[in-house]
Amino acid sequence: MGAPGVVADVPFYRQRLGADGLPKPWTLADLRDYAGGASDPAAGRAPPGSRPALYVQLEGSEDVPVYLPLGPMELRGWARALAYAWRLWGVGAGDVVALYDYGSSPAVFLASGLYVPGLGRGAADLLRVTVVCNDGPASMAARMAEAVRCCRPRGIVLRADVARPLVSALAQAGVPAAEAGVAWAAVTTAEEAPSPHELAPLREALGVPVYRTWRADAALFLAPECPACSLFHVPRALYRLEELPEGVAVTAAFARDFPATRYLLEGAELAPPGCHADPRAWRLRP
Amino acid sequence: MAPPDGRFDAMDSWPWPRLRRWWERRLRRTLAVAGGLPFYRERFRAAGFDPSSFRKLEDLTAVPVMRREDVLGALRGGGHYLIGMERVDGEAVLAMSSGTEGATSFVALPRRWRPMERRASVRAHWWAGVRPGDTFLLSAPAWHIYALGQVLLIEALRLRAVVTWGTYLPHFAPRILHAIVTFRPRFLALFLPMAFSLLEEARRQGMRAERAFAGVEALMVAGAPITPGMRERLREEMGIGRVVEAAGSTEGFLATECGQGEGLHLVPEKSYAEVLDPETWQSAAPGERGALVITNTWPWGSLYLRYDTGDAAVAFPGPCPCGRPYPRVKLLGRRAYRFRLGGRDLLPYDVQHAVEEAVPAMRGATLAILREGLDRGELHLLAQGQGLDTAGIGPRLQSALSERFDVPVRIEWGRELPLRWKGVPPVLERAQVGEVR
Ligand SMILES: [Zn+2]
Ligand SMILES: [Zn+2]
Repeated sequence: MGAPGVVADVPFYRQRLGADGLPKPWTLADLRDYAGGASDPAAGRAPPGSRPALYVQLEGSEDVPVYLPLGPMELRGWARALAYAWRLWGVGAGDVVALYDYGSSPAVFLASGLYVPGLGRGAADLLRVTVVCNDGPASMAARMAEAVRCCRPRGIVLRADVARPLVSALAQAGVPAAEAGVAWAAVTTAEEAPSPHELAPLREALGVPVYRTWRADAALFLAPECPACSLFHVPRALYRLEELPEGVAVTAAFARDFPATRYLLEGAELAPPGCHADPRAWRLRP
Repeated sequence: MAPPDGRFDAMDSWPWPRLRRWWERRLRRTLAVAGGLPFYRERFRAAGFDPSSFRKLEDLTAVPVMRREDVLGALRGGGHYLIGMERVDGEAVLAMSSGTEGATSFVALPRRWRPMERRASVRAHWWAGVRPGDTFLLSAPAWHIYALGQVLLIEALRLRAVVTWGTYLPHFAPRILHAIVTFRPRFLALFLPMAFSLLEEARRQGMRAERAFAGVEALMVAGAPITPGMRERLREEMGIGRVVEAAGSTEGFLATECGQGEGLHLVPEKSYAEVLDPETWQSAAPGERGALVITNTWPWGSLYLRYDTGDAAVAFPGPCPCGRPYPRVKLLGRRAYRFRLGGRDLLPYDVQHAVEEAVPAMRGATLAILREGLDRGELHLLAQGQGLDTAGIGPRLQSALSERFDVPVRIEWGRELPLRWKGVPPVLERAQVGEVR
């Protein structure tokens, strides 16, 4: 986890330090407030004297974008979280995964070392998987249907708001996803997870299981819904979860240069570990 | 130490015969690899072409020209993205290529493709003005070939990178503008229509464009052919010294301007290119319009050999004053949008150019030509009129265009034109237009 010494140097955390020397848990709203009042493009998240090699604009419709400073350590750890998700969903060497979201989404850019500078090995490189990526707008749904037809992906990862356009494009193109070899789809959103009943139409139309991701991009957090237990798995090697009076907070253990410490996962409840798909993983109930 | 005047390496100063021999060696190797792939084995046999007979660039004329329909046909026939024209060694990144017609094909980019792409991307961007220490804005990462090359460029030159949220569509302009103002890059690479969306966004925010782009010394634009008027407008309004055009395709074409602004030099690592008469597939005369036909010079990934990209292009004769040995071309748009008007074969580029000459305020304005108008022998323009004195401009534009093309001209001002992935299609049918007032 972000060493307390480092965290205490980072402006955003310094102003939140409690008596125990650890920062108070925070939410995206706290980060936005801080970013709005600071002239620092890293929104106080970079230690003094550091020079982030990469800044990523967070998704959101607000007028003033917030940037996330990242180094290779952060990118690689975060990509391992994506690889964990794909593996939990059954992806293995030789498979194809198809992506339908903006390339600026971590669900996309962490997939390949060719998608974002400094990553080196993305989830597809780690798992020896072939990736195909479509641009994010709904108007690109027909192109995605062609990718499903010709690339026969094992899984489709898509942003929530293109689910409906994709279903109609597949129908129009006469591509039944399950028959094309698709084993699952995963819907991904920037914050929190969509409710299961929102996904029912997609599940029905595609004829395959539809999983969810729980993302908190500001905290470099990405957790997949588990096909076996339907809870969100959080790999212990990557994240540390704490039950605090305010709720469950997550720290990205790999974020050593640009710490992501004690982000409050709103509405989360910690369930005991013990799923047979990964007996050691933390598990979250939304 | 970098050679002077923006040259990237010693190769940029090679005499033509040396470049020619280098290309011939690379092509020979690539053709030999292709001869072992099912897709080409068949085509070569049918054409009576033996790859081992290849010696000189001129021998390429024995290689049959391949068209997009051939690729799509193989894709339909096999029902799988691997159509037998790929050399891959394990997993790959697949890039999608959508032609004007909308049908999609898939280009495989394996690990062994990356070193070539890295070198090509650094060379092209170096010509355009990028230097170590720069900040690079990635405004539509991951899904298209430029973005992949730019990631390799950023890593090779250790640039600072900023990824903005979204893609090329105009409604993401506020986020890109925010990143420009926040990070003040010295070099900027943009999809050409986005450059105009950014000007519009700066205007909307009440920011002077010159202030918004302060510090930007070079702007590289790609994705659509730039007209002289567009270039002037970007230079003047943004206050940018150098506007550099680049052109490329998922299938392996890449060309970039040098400082002379007379055509785009082929980037040698990716493809050799010819401009051919699309009826006879013989070389078009220098300065004559023809089809851009490319041959990849790197034997990894999907191999495109004598592939008609669907673009209209002109080749520039003779050596460039800059001293680079690479031949020069200028792309003028997709040939699918060609039309006949007033007894002449034209491209939307010609109309755009004429509009800008008649009304400088319309440099870079979004325009489309109505297909039904062409069918009647008239030029019926659909134009977005935001920020323009349309009542004053309309009659002037109409008379200038009708004089220029010698046909009746109608201009319809509207607010919205339909956006496709490469901007507004330059020739539209009424049914595609939606509400144009
Ligand atoms: Zn589980
Ligand atoms: Zn030159």
